[in-house]
Amino acid sequence: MTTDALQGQREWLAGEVAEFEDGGRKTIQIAGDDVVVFRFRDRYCAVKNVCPHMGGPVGDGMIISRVEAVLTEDQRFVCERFSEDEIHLVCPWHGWEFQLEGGECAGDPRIRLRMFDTEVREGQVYVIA
Amino acid sequence: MSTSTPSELLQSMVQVLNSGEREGFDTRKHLENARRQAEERNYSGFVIVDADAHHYEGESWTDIYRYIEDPVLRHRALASDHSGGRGRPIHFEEPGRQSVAGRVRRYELYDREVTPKDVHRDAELSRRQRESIGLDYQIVFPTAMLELGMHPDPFVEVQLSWAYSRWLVENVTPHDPHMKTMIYLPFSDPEASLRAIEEFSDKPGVVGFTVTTTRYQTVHQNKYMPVYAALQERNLPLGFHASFYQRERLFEGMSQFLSVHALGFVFPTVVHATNMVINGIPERFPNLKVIWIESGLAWVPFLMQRLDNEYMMRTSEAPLLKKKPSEYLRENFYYATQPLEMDNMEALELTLNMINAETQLLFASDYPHWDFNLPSTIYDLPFLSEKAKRRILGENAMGVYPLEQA
Repeated sequence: MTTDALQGQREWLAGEVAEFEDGGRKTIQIAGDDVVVFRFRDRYCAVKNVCPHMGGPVGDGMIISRVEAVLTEDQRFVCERFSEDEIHLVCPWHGWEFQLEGGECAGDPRIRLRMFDTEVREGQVYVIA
Repeated sequence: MSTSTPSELLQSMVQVLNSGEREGFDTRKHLENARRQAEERNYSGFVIVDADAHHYEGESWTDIYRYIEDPVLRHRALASDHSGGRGRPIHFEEPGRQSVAGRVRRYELYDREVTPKDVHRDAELSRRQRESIGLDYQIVFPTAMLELGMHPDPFVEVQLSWAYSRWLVENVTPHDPHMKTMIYLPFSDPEASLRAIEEFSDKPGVVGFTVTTTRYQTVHQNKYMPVYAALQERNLPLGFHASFYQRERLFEGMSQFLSVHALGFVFPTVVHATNMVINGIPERFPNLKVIWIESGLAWVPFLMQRLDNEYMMRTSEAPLLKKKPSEYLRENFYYATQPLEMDNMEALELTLNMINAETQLLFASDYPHWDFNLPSTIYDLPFLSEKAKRRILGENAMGVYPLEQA
């Protein structure tokens, strides 16, 4: 379902809040493209389901903390660990990783996912395009 | 003392926040975006041959073991059924790290795919892959068997490869005329390799023979000349299929799979191609079709430049050559595309020019492995003509393999 707001902005109804339990995902169509909508912790994310690498269904991928390396002050390797504040969405075809916040590619920041803003009003989740 | 509950402890250890898992698994759903690419680019309008796809023969070991000819080895292999699934007594396997710790999802979900009972599962999965990706033919290779060239006992390579090949051509390939294969040659034993050529050349789906590159036998030894002659006589291609060997001493200290895989798939290929060229195998068998599979392409310009430079100073060490090493690499060999190194388009264009891609390059997907390519990797290259794209995607392969127009 599409509604045209006053400023010409277009929004798509993704579903009711109750449909999005944490981790659940829903695919909607926006202008002929599959867009995957999901709730992660306290917010809703919407991503075009086409990976900029080879076209994989990136919205179906794993959500996982970024792996970071820990070094000492004199640059010796200590360990690898999961980041506490950077979360990645991973394309299930080839493992390309993207920041969930903004869609920037972990391997090349010039490459981004096509992500959409979301909005919750009166118990409904909307995708803004 | 920790007060964490087991689930909290697990959460802190494993930072998978959401697996993306949905119920079941279906190749057609997983490759839905590939099918859209095929429709948008009208792949049905021309032939596409995948020179390198894979199946997981490891799901069928028990069926394969029944074809082992040696009764003692067959018994030993089948006894693994009594090990509670905790060992494969005749195998010599690499640790599996291809899924990037579960990030590439199909490795974990593959077993959940439901297939009909009246056709072999591997043939059905091949068909689903072809239809989704837009392929006319798929030339299928094994997966775990690629490590067999490093088995400490050559007898196991001979026996197991024979059993696998019989199982494949008697149970799988007859189900589907578009699923093809290159039969595994047990290269540690040239006599057994010749026997395999004689036995399997005319079997359903066989379009050539393959040697796995991770092995220490050198390809120019005299004992292999009858093998090359037999293939040349039959006009069947010889594919050198790359793999890696994590216990290779040079790689022992490498910290990550990425490093071992990036180099491990290429180094043995470079060694074998060097031995083929410098020892004049293309002069001795000018009509032998040799294909280098699953090493990508970036290694070829390196080797061309390196060998030409040294050859010009030491022609006495390569008396069979009538042209520069790079010319043999460009004119006498074929190359499968995958994994196509395409981060630098300028370098890729130069590479394709250097290997004369329009006649020597064969599209390959490597599906379902973690670094697979789609036909769009070739079709979308901005510097190729439509004619060149079609040749690389299928027409070249139709001339290399005994395939009929689909």
